[in-house]
Amino acid sequence: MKKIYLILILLTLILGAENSRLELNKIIHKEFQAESLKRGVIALSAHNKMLSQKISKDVVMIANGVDVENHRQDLIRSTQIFNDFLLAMYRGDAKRHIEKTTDETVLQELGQIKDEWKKFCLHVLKFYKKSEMIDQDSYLYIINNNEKLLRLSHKLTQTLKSKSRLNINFNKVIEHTLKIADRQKMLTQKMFKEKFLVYIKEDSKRNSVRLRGSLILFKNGLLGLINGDKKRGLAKVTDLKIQEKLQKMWSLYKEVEEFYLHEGTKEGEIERLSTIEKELLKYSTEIVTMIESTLEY
Amino acid sequence: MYKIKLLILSMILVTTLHAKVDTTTGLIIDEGISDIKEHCTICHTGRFIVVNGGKRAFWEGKIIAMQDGFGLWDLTNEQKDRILNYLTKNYSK
Repeated sequence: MKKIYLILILLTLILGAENSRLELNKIIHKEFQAESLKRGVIALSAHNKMLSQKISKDVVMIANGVDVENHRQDLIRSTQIFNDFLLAMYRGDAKRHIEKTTDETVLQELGQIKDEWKKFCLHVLKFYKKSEMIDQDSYLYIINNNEKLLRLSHKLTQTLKSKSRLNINFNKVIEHTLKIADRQKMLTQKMFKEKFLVYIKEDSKRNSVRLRGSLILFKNGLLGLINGDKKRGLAKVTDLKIQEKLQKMWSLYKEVEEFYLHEGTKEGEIERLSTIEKELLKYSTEIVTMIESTLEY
Repeated sequence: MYKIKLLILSMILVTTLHAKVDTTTGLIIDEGISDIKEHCTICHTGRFIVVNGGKRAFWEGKIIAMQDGFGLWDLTNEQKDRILNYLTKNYSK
């Protein structure tokens, strides 16, 4: 697309026609606006990645009797948002400027998410109601299949990005930063869920490995955003307000890093991790929104 | 005139033969890329694949390392095969 723009610009310059230049400006303006709307859809798809982890984390908390009412409210809200996005992609949503999906690859990947979501959601619904009895089958289904929902949502997000027509190089650095910031948002939920599962000795070996991987990604990602990381193609975030929030995230993470790393975690440490996890999610969500706004036309 | 024709023909050939690259991951578009997007680039960039490279055993070792050290989930035999076929075909140094 960039090449087409360049050719059009060159042609206009060669012809030197004022009217053509105005027409070209209109076309470019329209294209940028369309891109902006597409970015909104990509952002919602990336948000669903985080929700796949938040939903499963909330289920784990409810099933284990931790702050049940708040987690239930969060669970209902997150499930609704996840579902609304899928519906909007299928039917279109004028309010949110989402067009009905027609692209075959996107439809195919949406179908994969829909198929998994239909099963997953039925199990999640079991945790909507107040009950002393926990549906063990549903609980196990959710903790064993949430990653599938995560990776399918990730695949869709990448495909939507690839289908986005504009790929101007100066945006690519910011887009990569946004991708890592989005991943941080998801990891805040994933790593706490994994730590809690290790804490309650639920499939400890598997969850310990998962947790180790999540922590490495989270720490490297955060440091990369703060300082830049050539190896990972990350530029240092220079926006002072974003940098300030990143520093706050770093202080919070450093405070609880040891709790995440060591075995034999105490109840008080889990409570602190739970509080910090919410703050990390809040900051990372704000950071993502701030980076997204720098991409707006 | 003959030289110009030859030049144009060469340019067309180069453009046609040049593998298409996915703009988000930077990886060659080929059978199996969907699995790569689902299981690999969720944690690391496509560049990690591009700068590495080796025969099937090399990539197999990488998958095991990802599973043992970084929490990559279990893959079905079909998924693993598609991933290894893609990597070996497109990124075997």
